[in-house]
Amino acid sequence: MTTTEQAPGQTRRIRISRRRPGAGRARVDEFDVAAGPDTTLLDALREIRSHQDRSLTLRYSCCHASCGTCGMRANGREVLACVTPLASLGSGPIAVEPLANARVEHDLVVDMRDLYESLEPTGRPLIRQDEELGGQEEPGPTFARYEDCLECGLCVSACPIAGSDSAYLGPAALAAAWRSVQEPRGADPSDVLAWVDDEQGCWRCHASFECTEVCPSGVDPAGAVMALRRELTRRKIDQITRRGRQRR
Amino acid sequence: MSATARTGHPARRPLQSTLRGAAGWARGRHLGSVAFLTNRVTGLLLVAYLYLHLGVLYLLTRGSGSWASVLHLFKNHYVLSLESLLILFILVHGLNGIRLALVGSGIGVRHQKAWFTAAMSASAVVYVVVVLAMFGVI
Repeated sequence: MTTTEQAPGQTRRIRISRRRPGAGRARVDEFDVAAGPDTTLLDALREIRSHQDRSLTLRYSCCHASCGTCGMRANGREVLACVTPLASLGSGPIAVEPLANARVEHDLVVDMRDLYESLEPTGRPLIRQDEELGGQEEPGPTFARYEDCLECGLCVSACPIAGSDSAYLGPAALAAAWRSVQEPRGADPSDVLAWVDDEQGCWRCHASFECTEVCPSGVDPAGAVMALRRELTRRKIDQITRRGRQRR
Repeated sequence: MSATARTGHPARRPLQSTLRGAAGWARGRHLGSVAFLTNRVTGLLLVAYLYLHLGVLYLLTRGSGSWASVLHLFKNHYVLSLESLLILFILVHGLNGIRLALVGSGIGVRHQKAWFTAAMSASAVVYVVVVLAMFGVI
């Protein structure tokens, strides 16, 4: 993340998209906040909530990019507010909006149930790094750690296909699916592969790579989608050649 | 921190909201999205050209006179410039399509930005050569 110089005590204008439950359209409220060089977007939003508008609704928890709850869009880009310095958002007003491609509950809080439900069929592979290496005497293959996924939903918000087709499984679920296939731990990954081998699965991705760009945790969802395609293609070619051999 | 509040822009109309939403999405995007949009825009332009092409071919049914006038029109420099754009769209769409086919097959996924830069650079070089040839410079 690049940062620009920000003088101590500088005032920053923050334009927040606000939406109340049941209200049809969002409105934009502006707030001026005094900010230092290390002030994060979450600091500024908490300041607004504490001293200017108690009705501002936002969600956060750990404040160190571990829980993934403070995902939002700042100047059009998906960020975790807790680790995004205001100085990295240019010198002009900062437009803050809730994540896209999810139903807005209130102000900056969106409904995450669709995301969580989309992860369920993958078995949600949460495997610790020490477990991954446990009992292996010989060095094994290098696994991409999709379990680093915070389930913050930034990838889904940035995905142009998730924005145009709500039936698409989405990058978070597909990344988790590839994790299950990559390290099945004795389970048969065929069910997960059959689940993603669908027009709304890994074949629906249009390779804009925004999911990988915005991921705050170094997960590579687009890489996972392409790996799923490669694996499915390999299995289909194997099936065809096997059938050909059986006929002979 | 100290702070001051201001309120309440009027709500946007739906069309404005949609356009601003699209502009907001475009503002925060990266090179992969440029490639994504480029492929769709050039694809649509090529489809539009196909219909134009069918319309021009239809003139064949109206006799040799009308066809001769069309051929004469094609020698006009403005029309040649438009034709050169067709070459550009084909190059961009085709080479970016090859990139997508490779990346979509799991080949060179981590280098997708470099693939795109290479495809666009190759398109630019070939386009310049084609334009020079079309206008008789080389």
